[in-house]
Amino acid sequence: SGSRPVPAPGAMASGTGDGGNARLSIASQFFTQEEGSGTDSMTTSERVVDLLNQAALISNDSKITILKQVQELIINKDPTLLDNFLDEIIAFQADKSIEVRKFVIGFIEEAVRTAWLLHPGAPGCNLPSHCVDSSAACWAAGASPDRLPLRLQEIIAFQADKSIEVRKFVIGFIEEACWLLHPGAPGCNLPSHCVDSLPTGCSSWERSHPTPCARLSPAKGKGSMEASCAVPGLLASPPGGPRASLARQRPMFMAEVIQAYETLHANLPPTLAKSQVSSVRKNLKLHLLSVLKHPSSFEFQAQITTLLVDLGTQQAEIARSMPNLKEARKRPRDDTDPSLKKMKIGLPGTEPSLGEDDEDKDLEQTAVPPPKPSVQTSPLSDTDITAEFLQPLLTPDNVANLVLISMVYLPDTMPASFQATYTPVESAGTEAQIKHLSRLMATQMTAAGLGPGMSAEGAERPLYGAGGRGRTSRRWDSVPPPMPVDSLPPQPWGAGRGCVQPRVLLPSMLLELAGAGGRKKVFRLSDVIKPLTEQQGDKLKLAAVKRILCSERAVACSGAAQARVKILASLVTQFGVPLKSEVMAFILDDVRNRLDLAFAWLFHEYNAYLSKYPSGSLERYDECLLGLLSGLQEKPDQKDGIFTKLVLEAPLITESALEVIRKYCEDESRTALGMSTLQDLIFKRPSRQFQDLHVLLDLSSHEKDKLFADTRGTVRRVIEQPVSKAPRLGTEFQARLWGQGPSSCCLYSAWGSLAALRWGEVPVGSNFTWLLQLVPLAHGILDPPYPSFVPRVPGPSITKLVVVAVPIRGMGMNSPELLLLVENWHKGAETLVTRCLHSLTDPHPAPRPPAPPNGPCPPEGRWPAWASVSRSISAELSPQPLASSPIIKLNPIVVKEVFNRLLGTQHG
Amino acid sequence: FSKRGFIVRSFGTGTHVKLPGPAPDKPNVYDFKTTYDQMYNDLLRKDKELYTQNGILHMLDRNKRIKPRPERFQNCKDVFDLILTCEERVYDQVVEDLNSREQETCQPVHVINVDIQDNHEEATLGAFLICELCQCIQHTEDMENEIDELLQEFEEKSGRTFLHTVCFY
Repeated sequence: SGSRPVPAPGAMASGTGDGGNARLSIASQFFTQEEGSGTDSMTTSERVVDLLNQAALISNDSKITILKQVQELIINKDPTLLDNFLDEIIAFQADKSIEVRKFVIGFIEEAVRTAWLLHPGAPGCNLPSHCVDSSAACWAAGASPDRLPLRLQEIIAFQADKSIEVRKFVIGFIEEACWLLHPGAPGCNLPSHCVDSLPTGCSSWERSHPTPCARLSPAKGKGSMEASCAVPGLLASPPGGPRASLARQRPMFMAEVIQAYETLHANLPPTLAKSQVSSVRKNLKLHLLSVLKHPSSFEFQAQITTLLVDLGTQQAEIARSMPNLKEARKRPRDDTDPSLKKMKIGLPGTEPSLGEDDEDKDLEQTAVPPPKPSVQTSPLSDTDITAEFLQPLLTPDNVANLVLISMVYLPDTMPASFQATYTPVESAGTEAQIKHLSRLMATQMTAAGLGPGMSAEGAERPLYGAGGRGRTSRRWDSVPPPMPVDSLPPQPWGAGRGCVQPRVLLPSMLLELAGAGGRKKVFRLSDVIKPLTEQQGDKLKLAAVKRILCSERAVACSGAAQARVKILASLVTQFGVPLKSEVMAFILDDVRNRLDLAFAWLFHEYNAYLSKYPSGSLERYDECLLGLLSGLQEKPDQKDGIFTKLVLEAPLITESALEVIRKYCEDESRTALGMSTLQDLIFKRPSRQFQDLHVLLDLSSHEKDKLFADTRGTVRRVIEQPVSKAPRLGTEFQARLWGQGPSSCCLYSAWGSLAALRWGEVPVGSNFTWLLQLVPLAHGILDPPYPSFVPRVPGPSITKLVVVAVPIRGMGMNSPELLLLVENWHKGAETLVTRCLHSLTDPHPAPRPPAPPNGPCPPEGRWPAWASVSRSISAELSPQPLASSPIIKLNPIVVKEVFNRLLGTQHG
Repeated sequence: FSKRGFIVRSFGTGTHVKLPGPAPDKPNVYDFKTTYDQMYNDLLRKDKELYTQNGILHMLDRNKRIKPRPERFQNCKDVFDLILTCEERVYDQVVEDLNSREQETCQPVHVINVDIQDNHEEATLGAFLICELCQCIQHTEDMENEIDELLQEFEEKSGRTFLHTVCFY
């Protein structure tokens, strides 16, 4: 069976052999094979190989179907193939699908039944350890009535399995075997579950064959008992229970059971942790108490009581659990008859030969408990022999020497078991205590395979069965310490590493014990990790950030506040949506103290934008800034200037952020603060000055009076700043005021109609006076469009003209903007131009500028005006007919007046 | 526990249900047949102020919304995966009871004791600890093999000592 062509499941994915076939449907494959098997006369073996190959390549549900076909072929059609293909099927245990793995377990159970029917006791037919996972399989394996005794040792060998599960079930099995193999005391009937769980023939077999059963029982039972005692397994818990119930149900084992408890108590592995020690001790205590309650324990009360006292049980509690003395007195009488019966049963049992040797009979006869079993009458155990040997040696000198010698071997750390067991003893030095001590030592020595008991035992005890008592005993007795150790999780307690028995902890020993039966599990990272779902990921992220947020105070105390802020900012920038609202709410909760976090976040977002510049989007930055500003805006009281600080220090003010600022200004209770913020913004952030100015000017035509006044004050202050601070303010104003008309939003809300979007009389009227006041400050306002609306200003012309005169005079004759105005006047603005000229030529001339290099010399004090007008006239005269010049088309009186004034002839 | 998806039941282990009374030596004793509602009304009648102030009424009110009456562990034959006790005395009673039962299915049950003082604060803290423990156990791949290690970790983390054993149904 070594050269089977079936690929291992691990190599399935790369197999290409039947790729084409695998693509066919299962039904068609099946029929193809049916035909193929018919035509090619494929043997069953080949067919199984083929099916297994297919199963290895298929990854869907049909794998089960194919495997079931294999099972049919192997189990029912040709069971001789079972041995050949068992490993291949078991290899499917590593399959990802649970269904396939379930199938494998089912298959093994079936296989075991078949195998044991076929090859009872065949040496090559090893029981796979998975089989032991189910007690049904256990029974299938061992409990065929005739073979149970033969199989017991093999099943007990599974005690060395790595899996605690397997060991637990083996113990369960041993217990059941004990029930079955040993006649119970009267009133100690086989528990119903045992009867139920036995194969159908078994219990009736026991009932119908009491004699061979009783004849076989003691030796076998003892073997199993010792095995179970020697294997503390899962911290003594699983064997502890069965042992206690064994002792209760089969009092003949009382001595062994109590000794097993002693062994366990005295040999608690030093590597156990504190709580494990207390759990084990508590368990021991509970089990001992339950055993103590049983009338059959009467003879062992002294031993049990000493143990219980060692385990820290109160005297009162022990007294409560003592069996009733009356019952105890009655018990011997009660016990007499059945024991005698047993003896009677046992004697005729010598007649039918079952192939067992004579030693068994002898042993059985001595081991059957007498009517009143006692320690003295029962055969001396290894421990008893060693204890007796030790007791006289425990003189004060020897003990002191022992202590001194053992000091050398003390481990670095005190084992938890020692701490728990070390209690000041009231009866120190008394005979009872010395006896107890010698027993404890004997137990340990026996467990370590030392002492006269061990040597005596090997020579005296008879062998039986395949294994032999002595061999088995040595095997198990020499092993016990490792058993609890391997039941421990691998962790670095390491307390026992420096111990007297270093071999206890050798991992190689564990491996050896685990044997080939233990399935090696190959570690694959992909098996143990799986990707988180998006929701889980988000949840974890959020939880992490929340924890960091909550740790504010602790982190501040430890001086890592900066690092925390940085981490938070990076996280929220990197992971975005789910965290943003959390962090935002956190910041806004106490803005004053968390401003650094706000700025860190803002700058991180801005950095993220810059790192992708120019393709990056400002959206996230914008969202962050907007969130912060809006949050601040909603705060009731903001006198500490956090809003201003944020606006001024933010790396970039976006359009939407500006909108928030505008809304902030529109809030009447905050107008002053908003305006000063806006003003600062205009002066301190020249790069986006225009946008800021737009907002300012929009606000300047707001319908709210207070806002209106405040805004104009701000505008005025802005305009008054030196040109260096606001270099293009004039141009900006001009473009803003005349080029685009009034702010759509303000006017729209004021008039509610689209018509109002154009310059109408009312808005012009309301703005006019104010604008004119600004003219001397920013000459750019007087750009060509300016005159176009003047005629439409409501009110008498003379009023308008008077109003206009003041600012124009304020501008002075040096203003290039004024000259441009005169040069490019529009139709309908004649009056204004005239008025301008009047203003310019008033009796208080401005200082004279240097003369131009060519051209006529203007009259004294009128040079700029003259220059401009003459330039405009000459421009109009030369290319076009004079008649088309707007100035000529004016009222003759006006023309005349203009020329007179320009030429300095006041009355000419 | 229920809210976190565990199928959970609670039991008492004593012979009677005992609730604090006006003095430590005068507890209110009921048998297990008494419903929470009856206890509630009884205490309400006896001393509303006292039992409101010490939270017993609140507790009973909550309990009666969960189930009609307290249950006794020893009378329940249902099978569990994990039994948690909060006092060593109770742990002993539970283990004793489980060991005294006749084994039928050999299904293992883990019994874990976490010592928790019997007051509201400790109970609240303990509930979270136990719940976390259960969640960890729930997520182990192989509970039988990993539970020891897990308990060790929890002991270190919580600074409490646990008792643990396995019994079989």
